[in-house]
Amino acid sequence: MSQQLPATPDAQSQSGAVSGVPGIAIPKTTAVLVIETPRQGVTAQQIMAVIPEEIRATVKLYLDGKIREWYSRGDGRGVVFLVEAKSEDEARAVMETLPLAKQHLMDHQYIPVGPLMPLRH
Amino acid sequence: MKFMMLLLMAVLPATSVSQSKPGAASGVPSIAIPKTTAVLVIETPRQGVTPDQIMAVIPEEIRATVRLYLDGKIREWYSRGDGKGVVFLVEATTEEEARTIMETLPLAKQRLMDHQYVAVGPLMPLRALNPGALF
Repeated sequence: MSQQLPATPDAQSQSGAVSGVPGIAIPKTTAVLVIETPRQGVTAQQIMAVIPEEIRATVKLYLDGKIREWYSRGDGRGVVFLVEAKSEDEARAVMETLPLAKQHLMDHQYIPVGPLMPLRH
Repeated sequence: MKFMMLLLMAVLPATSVSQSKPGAASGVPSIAIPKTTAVLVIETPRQGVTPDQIMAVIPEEIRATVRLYLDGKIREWYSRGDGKGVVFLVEATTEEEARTIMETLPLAKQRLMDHQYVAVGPLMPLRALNPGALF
């Protein structure tokens, strides 16, 4: 996907050290951003066929306290969720219960987030 | 409710594969495109930039970022849990507007960061929860 972030070399074991972000700037993860776009080649009709079920399942997750925020993309390329999870794996487990994911129609990009650490200065 | 869903699907036009319609080629129906109410900004250090280079600018960056927040330009802010940078939700109605805001910050001015912009708005599929208002 064109919007994937550039890969950072994974030879170094210290997360953040190679990427320029000081180690003290790494927060506790309090939520996970999920950027969800249709897979290459998937049509609008394939998606629309699943949408009624997707809406029900997504609203259920929200009512269960699993989704903090949800958006459609302004460029029409998909949706964005802020999932209540403490790790990428936890967020993935939540997202994979949804119908569109189960039918392998979507790509997911996961970004764990937490408090803005520079504010401690 | 189920009838309304089926009716909604029945009245939707068949997918146009014309590239000029935003979203049509990528699989997202064009009625699903919202008004942009904010822009997500994912900011990571450029390849080759060191923590020292960033730390030198951080005091100024913090001041300028807090000022933007107090001016109502930043709705949310986060550090990434994987240590790769920061994420902002900027109050802007276009990517351009968000870019203009972000480029006032010191780290951006010194070209130390990469920025990924994702314009967002209300989750449009939820209009199906409003049975009387199909469109």
